[in-house]
Amino acid sequence: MHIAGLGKHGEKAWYQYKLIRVYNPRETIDMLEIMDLLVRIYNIFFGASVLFLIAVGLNIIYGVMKIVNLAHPAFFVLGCYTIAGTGMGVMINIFGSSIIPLLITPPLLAAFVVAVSSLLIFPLFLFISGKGDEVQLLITYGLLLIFEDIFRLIWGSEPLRASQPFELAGSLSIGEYLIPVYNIYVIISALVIALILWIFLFKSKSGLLLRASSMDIEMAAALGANVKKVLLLTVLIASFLAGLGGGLFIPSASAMLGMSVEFLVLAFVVVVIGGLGSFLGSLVGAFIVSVLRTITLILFPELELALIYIVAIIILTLKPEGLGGGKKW
Amino acid sequence: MVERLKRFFGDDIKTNFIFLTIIAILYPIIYVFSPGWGVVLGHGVTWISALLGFNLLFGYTGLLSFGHALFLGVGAYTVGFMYKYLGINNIELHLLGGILSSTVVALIIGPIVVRYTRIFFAIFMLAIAQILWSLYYKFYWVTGGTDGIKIPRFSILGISLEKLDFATYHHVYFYFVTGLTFILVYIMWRIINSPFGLTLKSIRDNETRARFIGVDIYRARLYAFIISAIYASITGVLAVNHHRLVTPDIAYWTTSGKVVFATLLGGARIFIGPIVGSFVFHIIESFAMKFIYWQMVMGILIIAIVILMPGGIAHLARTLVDVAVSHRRRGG
Repeated sequence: MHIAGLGKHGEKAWYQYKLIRVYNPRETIDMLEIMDLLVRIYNIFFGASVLFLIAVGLNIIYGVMKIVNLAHPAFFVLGCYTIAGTGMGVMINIFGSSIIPLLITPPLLAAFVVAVSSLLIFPLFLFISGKGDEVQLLITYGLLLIFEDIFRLIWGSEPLRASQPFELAGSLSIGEYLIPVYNIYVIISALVIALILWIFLFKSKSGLLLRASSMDIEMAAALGANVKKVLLLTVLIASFLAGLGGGLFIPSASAMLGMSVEFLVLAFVVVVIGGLGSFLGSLVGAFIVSVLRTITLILFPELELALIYIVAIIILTLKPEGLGGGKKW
Repeated sequence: MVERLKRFFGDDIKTNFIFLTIIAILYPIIYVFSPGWGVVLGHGVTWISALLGFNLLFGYTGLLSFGHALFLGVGAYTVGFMYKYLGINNIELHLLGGILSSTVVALIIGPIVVRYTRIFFAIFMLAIAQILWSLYYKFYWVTGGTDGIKIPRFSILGISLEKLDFATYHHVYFYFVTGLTFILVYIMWRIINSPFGLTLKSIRDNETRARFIGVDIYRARLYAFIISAIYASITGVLAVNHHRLVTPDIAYWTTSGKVVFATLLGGARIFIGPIVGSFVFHIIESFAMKFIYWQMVMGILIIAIVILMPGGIAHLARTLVDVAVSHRRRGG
């Protein structure tokens, strides 16, 4: 690629500009002002909300079924594509440009679609739960491959956007910075979802059953829990959360092929840092990964993933059970 | 009789050599009828090395790697850099460079990742491969980014192949790689049937017991990891010399998927599996490439193989022979 009149260094700079044009100008820390810091903190919260919604589902499925579902981020991306490819157009036809329904309905629609499609895969999950690790990894990996091509089959390989709610919600200006209102909405909804999930898991009877099955599924069955129902509930909740995440995330980004793997790699760090199968861990992990991502994007954007993984490996070496303290739930 | 046939289908080095020889004999005939299929066979023979390496790690050591594209990428970019910055296009030097660089990379990554098994190992490999892929992609002023690095035809022992027509050049390439593959298969056979290979199998079958009888699990896994890396990088070196273009694609996660799938298809844990798998995979691929949803086919086949025939084609062939033999015996 040659751009006339830029020279070797200009070319490099132009390329870097293209890569990081979104929100990470390469500045050193001492250039950060307070406002800047605020924007970053809010970016951290936004990233953490999205990662949490993926990682918590991964953890719930692992906790109860002992399956590391490599296809889980594909559920999230399915949510994204449902909205970006089809859902948003339908919503706009129905609601026009009134903002409140456009904020609320897409995530719910995405979650619904994803939960229904997870029902189709449920027999496969039943089949692999209790099988060896290799079988589980290979089958969920196969699912990941299938999902990636289903997206291509239905929605094509062009990146898709559904930015209407994002644009309609407008943005707050603080100093010279613009903070999109939509992202604040995402953060708040993620907090609400986390709260509802916590109440469900720790205060309701189904949540109790779910936690009990995760500790000892045979014992739970012996005590009269309908295990199959619990497993179904687990998969439904996990995929519902991933779908919600996708529906919430997509207006501020675009849906692309290859996204599943990108998020798999990120969600897995969250799970490693927080500890496999822990609810609290996914919250802590999502936050830490998001902080790391934001910092590395400022300092060394090229090495973003590398640095996150180095931290993950250090944590795994020091505390193999993760920062969740090895505590279940 | 049964034992002999059973040995013939998978547990004998001779079978591998006979299979490769048959392919080598058929190749010119196929090339005369359809050069396209000749090139497909060329791909098949190129990929055997990586699949053997993957099988050493997955089938014999029990470490499932979803990031073998990492080492293919290392091999490929070693060739790219050697040509771009040093002007070297000798394939012997390329191979040497690929082996050295992949050993270095495996020595850096290996000590960390082989501490973990199962899901952790699988995803760490996937993640590290993705990191390297993103580096090839982002440091475009070094690696050429998505445009990649174009490399000319290689030369063997200083003899340039630039002036040959394409068919002759491809024949030279094919027989060179086949010869190399014979050597690699033999070395891998010796490794797997050495005390070291038995150690690896014991670790795969029962880690606790292996540790109990005094096996240094960590070291054995690390060595297996390094050997596997070298084998994969050799395919990287050969593949870019075949395509004559180095792009980040070879280090992308879909390449790792190919390696996993082709090995499973041929039969993991069986020595001849990767060799059969590589050819069958490329034949299926060249049919399925017309159908752009090739990954979906691959995913469905992975699930079907894991559920229905965990031993892959090699195991299927063995079972069929078994059934046929016992049938005849009962009849007689």
